[in-house]
Amino acid sequence: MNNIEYSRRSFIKQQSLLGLGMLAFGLPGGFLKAAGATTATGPVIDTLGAMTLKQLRDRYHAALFDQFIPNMDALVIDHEYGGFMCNVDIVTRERKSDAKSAWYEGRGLWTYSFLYNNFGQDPAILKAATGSKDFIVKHIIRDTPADGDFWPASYNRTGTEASGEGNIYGHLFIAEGLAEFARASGDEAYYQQAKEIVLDCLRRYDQPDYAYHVNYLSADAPRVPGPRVLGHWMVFLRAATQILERRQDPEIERLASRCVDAIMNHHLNPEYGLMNELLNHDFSRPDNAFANFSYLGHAIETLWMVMFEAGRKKDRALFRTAAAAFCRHVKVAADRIYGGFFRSLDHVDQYTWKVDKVLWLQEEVLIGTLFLLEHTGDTWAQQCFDDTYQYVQDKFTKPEYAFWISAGNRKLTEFQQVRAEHYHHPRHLMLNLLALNRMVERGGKISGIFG
Amino acid sequence: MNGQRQVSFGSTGQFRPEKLAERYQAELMDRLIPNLDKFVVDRQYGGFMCEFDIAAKKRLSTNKRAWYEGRGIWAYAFLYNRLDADDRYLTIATGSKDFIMPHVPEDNGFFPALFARDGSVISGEGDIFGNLYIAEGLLEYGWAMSAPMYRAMGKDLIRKSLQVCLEADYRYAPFKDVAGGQFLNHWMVILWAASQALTHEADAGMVRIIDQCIDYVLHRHLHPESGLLNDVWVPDRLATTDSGLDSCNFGIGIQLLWMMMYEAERRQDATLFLRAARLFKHHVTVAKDEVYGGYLGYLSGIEDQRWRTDKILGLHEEILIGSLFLVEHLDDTWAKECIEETFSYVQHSFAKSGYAFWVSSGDRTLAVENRQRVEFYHHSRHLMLGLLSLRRLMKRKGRVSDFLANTTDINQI
Repeated sequence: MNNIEYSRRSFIKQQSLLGLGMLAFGLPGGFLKAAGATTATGPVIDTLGAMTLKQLRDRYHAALFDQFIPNMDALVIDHEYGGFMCNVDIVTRERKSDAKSAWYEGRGLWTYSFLYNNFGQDPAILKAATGSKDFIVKHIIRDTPADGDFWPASYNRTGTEASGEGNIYGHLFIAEGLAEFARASGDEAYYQQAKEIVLDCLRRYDQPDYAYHVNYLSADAPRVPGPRVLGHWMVFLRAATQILERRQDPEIERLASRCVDAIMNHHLNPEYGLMNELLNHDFSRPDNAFANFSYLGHAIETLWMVMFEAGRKKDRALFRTAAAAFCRHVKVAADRIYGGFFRSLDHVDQYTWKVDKVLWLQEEVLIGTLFLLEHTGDTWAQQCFDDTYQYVQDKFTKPEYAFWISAGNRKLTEFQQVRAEHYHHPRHLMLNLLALNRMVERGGKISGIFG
Repeated sequence: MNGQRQVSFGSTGQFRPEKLAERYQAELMDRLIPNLDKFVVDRQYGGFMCEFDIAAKKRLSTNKRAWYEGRGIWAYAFLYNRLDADDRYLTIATGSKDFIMPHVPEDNGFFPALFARDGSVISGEGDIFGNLYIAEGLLEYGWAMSAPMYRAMGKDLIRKSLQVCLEADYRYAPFKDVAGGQFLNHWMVILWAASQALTHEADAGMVRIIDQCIDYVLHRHLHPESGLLNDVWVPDRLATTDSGLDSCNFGIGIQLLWMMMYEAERRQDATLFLRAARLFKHHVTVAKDEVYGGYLGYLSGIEDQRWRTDKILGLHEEILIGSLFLVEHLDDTWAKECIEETFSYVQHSFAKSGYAFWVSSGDRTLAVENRQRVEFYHHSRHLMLGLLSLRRLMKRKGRVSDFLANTTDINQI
């Protein structure tokens, strides 16, 4: 793709929700655009990514069912001991190690359970999920005091611990997986177990001495006691809202509300309209490098989740605010020279960046923009989706590779070869495939759920 | 594209050409010119004293600079030639011309950089830009005065400047360690001065100089991968370790690109115009400060995405000049949006009602302003060129020009 053309088109079209975002954040307003989402000229969306909706849906379907699932089956799923071995060279198709991790088991369990629940209830898919569930139950989950250690991070193929303590995300991804598996298996016990894990994590997170080092700013970033972390709220929120899509649970409902409040009313910095990744325990802004740190990748990912939650609750006000913030973050994160999006604005005011590219962020943009498009027909979202889809096809997908490239340098001239990404990637494929199915079914008409 | 239409700017259609022209006219004639007259113009010795506190309205020094004399001569001569043939402007331009003429350098030397109020020299030799701005001023002044000798002097200074900067041992201070380098800002000023020389009379030598500038810009400074104009070009990039070679000065690049569009229109070269327009848009798009609004002026490392975060009024005004020109000739939607957004940002951030002049620069949010400078070149040029663009638009009753009427690929920009 021509980079100049890419940037130009992006700039031209970023007209609708951007204005709302700028207004919402109190920035200079004289030139701002219409204070609301702009719907497409016509009520029907015919094409996306230079294809008809059906063609695009077929592309997504092929990426999921003709590439991802067969290659997971052949290279990643441990058919003997259960679980997922993700250290696969995507170019040579060699497995580089048979290591497993709490994170990836939880994520894989979610992926396969969601796949089973939403795409045909294939017994082979459920078997893969069950294998991981068994591995998790047997080797990872263990009783610990509420304020005790987190489960170990890594395991060898047969389930022996291979590392020290993990972190909260291992628990939360497993909880997310178990909750989805409860639905797949029809076994309520897994839901109760998932809920207990989530609430246990919340209790730990609320301790003033809770420890988590946000080292993705830098290895020597300050350690803040009892930090409030956007990434934590994000995973709590996603776990909670997926549960609430299927059942009522006041405790989980309170958790979801609390997450949305923390995200939209605390992490979103009113001075510059971007999310801060880390706040002090009392939600004040730290007096250190974190005051200016905006991890845009998490922010964009979190904001589509908030939009989804607004959709679940039919909350127009929340949707408008979240949509505006989503657009703003996407705009700020855009690499206007080489295309795609940057994940980390290390210092907002000094405008210092990490310039590597990760697939997951591009895919979060695709999920959020398609959601906007499905429900509002927003023209900015359409253009952003088109550009991002094309960019991802150009830079991250190689038909001869076993999986899409998960990360690389700014121009993807060098990339991470050993990693089968089995969470963000299939989530993007599945969520967007579901959205495209709905859109095709409606003949391209927008849903109108937000009026 | 060329249908009868009423042009308005931006998605809100807030600005109509008539309204915008009124704003430009008022800023130029009711604020800038009277305040220059009152605070900057030296009626006793001639010339311009620009070191002035724009908030306190207090002169900070009576020093004068070769750069600013050249720029001032141009501004007043252009005002006289193109907008208001008032003899008072000629008198001011003449005062500056008389101030600077005793210092014309011999051979390929440069004018001194700095002068005391009475014209005594208080610094050593200046740089190539002193010569070039004075050349630009003399060219315009010569036309205002119908005096060919000044036009000849201006052209001579351009030719000598080009000769100097192509010499193998030429050094330019900000990149003093770069040997054999070529510098984008040189081509910018040479191109614009030579292009203006051709406004008044044909000159094959000036055309060749412009061609050379365009060639260097598009084939040496334009980085094919990033699509950005590098500040510096060296014959062997691998032989130098200077990290400054990966930089892009948007103030220079964007300015140069609208000048290229103007030159393309002058020579009715649609291909050149569209190429420059595409690059102009790309540069403006990249320079945009998505967090705080306005535009950032300098990528000190393109590949590392290393920005300087100060804000310069001049850059914003160059964007307005180029965007207005695009509206004039293309009725370009992007350009209209850009005008609305940029004009509003400038009004909000740089135009302070209690100050004698617009703020010339500041930090990223303009919380800290540079109040100690009267910027009267980029600013007056923006107002004058913008006003001329708007007047042409109004004269055509909102219809775009015929320049690109037969061009088939205008939608490709």
